[in-house]
Amino acid sequence: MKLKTLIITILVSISSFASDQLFEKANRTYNNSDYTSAITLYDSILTIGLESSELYYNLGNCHYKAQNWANAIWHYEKSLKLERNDKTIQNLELANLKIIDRIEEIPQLFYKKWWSSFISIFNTFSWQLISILIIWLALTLKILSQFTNYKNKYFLSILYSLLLISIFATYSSYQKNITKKEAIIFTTSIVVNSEPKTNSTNLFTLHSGSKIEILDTNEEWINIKIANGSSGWIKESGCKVL
Amino acid sequence: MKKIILILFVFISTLSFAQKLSVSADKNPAIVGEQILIQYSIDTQGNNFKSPNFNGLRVLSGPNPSTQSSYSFVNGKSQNSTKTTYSYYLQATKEGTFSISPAAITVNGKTIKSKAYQLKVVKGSERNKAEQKALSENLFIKVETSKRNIVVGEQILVSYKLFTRINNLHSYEPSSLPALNGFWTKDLESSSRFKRDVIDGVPYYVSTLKKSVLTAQKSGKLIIDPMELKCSIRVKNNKRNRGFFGNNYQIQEEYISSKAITITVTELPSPPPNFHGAVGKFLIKSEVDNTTANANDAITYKLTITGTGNIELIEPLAIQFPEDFEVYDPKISDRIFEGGRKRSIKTFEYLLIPRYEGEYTIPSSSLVYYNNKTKKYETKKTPQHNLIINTNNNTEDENSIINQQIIKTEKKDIHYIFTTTQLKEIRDNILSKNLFILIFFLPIFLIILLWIHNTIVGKTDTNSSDWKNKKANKIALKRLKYAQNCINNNDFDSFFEEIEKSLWVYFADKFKVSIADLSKETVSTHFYSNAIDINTEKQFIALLDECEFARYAPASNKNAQMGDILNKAKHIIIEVETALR
Repeated sequence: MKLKTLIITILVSISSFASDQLFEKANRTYNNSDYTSAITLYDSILTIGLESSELYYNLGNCHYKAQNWANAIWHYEKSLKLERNDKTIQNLELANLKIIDRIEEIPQLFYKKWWSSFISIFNTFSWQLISILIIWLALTLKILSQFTNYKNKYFLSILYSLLLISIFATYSSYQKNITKKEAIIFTTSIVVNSEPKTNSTNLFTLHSGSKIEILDTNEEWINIKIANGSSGWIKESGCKVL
Repeated sequence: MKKIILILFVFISTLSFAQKLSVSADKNPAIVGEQILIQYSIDTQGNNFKSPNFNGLRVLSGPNPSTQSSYSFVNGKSQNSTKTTYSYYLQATKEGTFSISPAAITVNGKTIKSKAYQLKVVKGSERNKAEQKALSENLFIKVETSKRNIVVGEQILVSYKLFTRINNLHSYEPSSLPALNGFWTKDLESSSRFKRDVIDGVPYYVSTLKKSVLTAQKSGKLIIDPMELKCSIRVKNNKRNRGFFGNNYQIQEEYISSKAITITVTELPSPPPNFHGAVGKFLIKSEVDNTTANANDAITYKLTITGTGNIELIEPLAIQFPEDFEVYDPKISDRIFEGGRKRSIKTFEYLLIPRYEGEYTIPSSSLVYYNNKTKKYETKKTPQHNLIINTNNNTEDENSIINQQIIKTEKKDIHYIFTTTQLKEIRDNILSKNLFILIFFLPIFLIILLWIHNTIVGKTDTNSSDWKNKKANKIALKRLKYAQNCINNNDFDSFFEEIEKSLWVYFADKFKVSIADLSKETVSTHFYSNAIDINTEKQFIALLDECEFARYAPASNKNAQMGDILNKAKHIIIEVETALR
């Protein structure tokens, strides 16, 4: 197992030079407005096993220019999962204007909005590192105070409150980015059923490019929820998981 | 008595007679196509008449209400009667027995229903049929269309014509007009004068009833609905019962209708992006009244489209005027001939006001249309106009106003791609849940362990810990707070009292002794039972004695004595506190 990872790491480091060149070549192709070729070039970087927020963003742009809205949205969302960037958010907003469905989001309470923008400052990994750093620092201080005369209760209490915030942020970030599964509809139109059966009641119809949250899976059916709070069942084949 | 009964009977019978809604028809059985008069009458005034259901019979007119009132004065008796009649004119389209459901009327709040009525309709005799046939050959409507197969947006001319050979046509009026769904209709003026026309050697008098230019709005099979005409024909009265004025003729009403025509409309072949539905053949021309103008002076840009086709439906073209021009909505004027089938003109007049000086160009705009003759899309372009705008010299008085432009982006586009990136392996870049819990909760566990250790170890450790001494010291200081205050205030009298009181209260609180039981004996018993050193007990009692003595026999150096006693009291309390642990 260890050997395998080592080999992969070596391979990746060798290929990283080549892939950088590929990335630049794809950028040039994009500049020449040959979007389909640019997509193939960018995709070939992904098949090597490399990714980055910028790569997904560029792919999103290619699909946008080629007017594949669903694909563009998928790649922008993927880019945002790796790294938050204002350019990506703005492009995603534009792409969302092009699709058929306009899902009205349920307005969130102001503190929930603040909290969600706060936790998206760092990605989940960074939050985990921050929490661990703080708890170990607190432990060190505690041990230090035990054996020496160093006592700074004020600093320690700040550290504890920071610890509390960071552990909640880590949990929320984990819930938002890892546990929560999202997908984009790729078929032109899909009927949302009330039950995981073909002949059940049709609740509403979704069109390509709409973002859904996957709540549950039942064989080939998935239980979905959209931003306005409605939920139902669709076939898994109609969407692409982020 | 008999008389009264008779009167009563008559009264009742008239009453019951008055409340009957009777139904009658002028002919029963009737002949197919004949006009039938059905009347509902009641001998009083009523309201809220509910129409019956004439199953399968065509209602020509009705209900036509009429009220008759009569007042008669016969042999000194006056009689007042009112009669309300509702009449219908019906026509049967086929033979059979038709049942007309009961009608209802409200009289004095009571609803009165008529009987259901059975109407028999029989076929007309052979002679009658022959007459009908002869009529249909001599009186008919024909629909003429210029084309049967068109594309969406193409125009056809449709005219409804009345052909007649009979010379006794009294009058005619359309009873139902065609709906023409799926078409944009433009009615043309047509003269209803009869003209002679010969078809297959047979002369007819022809009148154009309706002439329209239809523009197909959607693809598929569209139906040009039939038009129905109500014709009144004068016929000789065969019957003996001639009119009072010796009228030999009677008016016979006939309904004739044209046949429906299906027009096949095909979709336009893959329209180019800037095609907006113009079909026909057009020319486009643009003019500018001034190529040089001053800022804030108006310029007129005139766009003229001429040609044949659905010119009326052409929308103003999208013209990219310079950003610094104020553009008003175009004034649209047109002269359309025959709904666009003849060469027509449509002009769009734009009023432009250039706000800043400079050289501008109004780019050429293009009209894309589908030529239905060549079956191809064609594009006609307007020339490009170069305009030179000079500074306006008359704006000196406006100089005080700062005329700035706010930069704004009208059309949004996505941001440009990233040119550099740092590629990483595709994997979930997070610590797994278990690893995170291990790394995170290990220090928490350690901290908790440390805390528990501190509390447990701290309790067992007694003598050496100066922390405990500190606590005892604190208690002593608290107890002797008032005594300390007395020293500060040089209050000698109450000092000894305070010390004594503080010691007793401390003792009482510590060993839970009630105030009533306080005595030197209880002190020794409690000190003994709590295994406190006998020296401490002696000191305690000695201090109490000393305080008592000092209160009544004042010493010379009070200040020194007070400090000494306070220290002693403090010492004893600390001693007791430490001994009790």
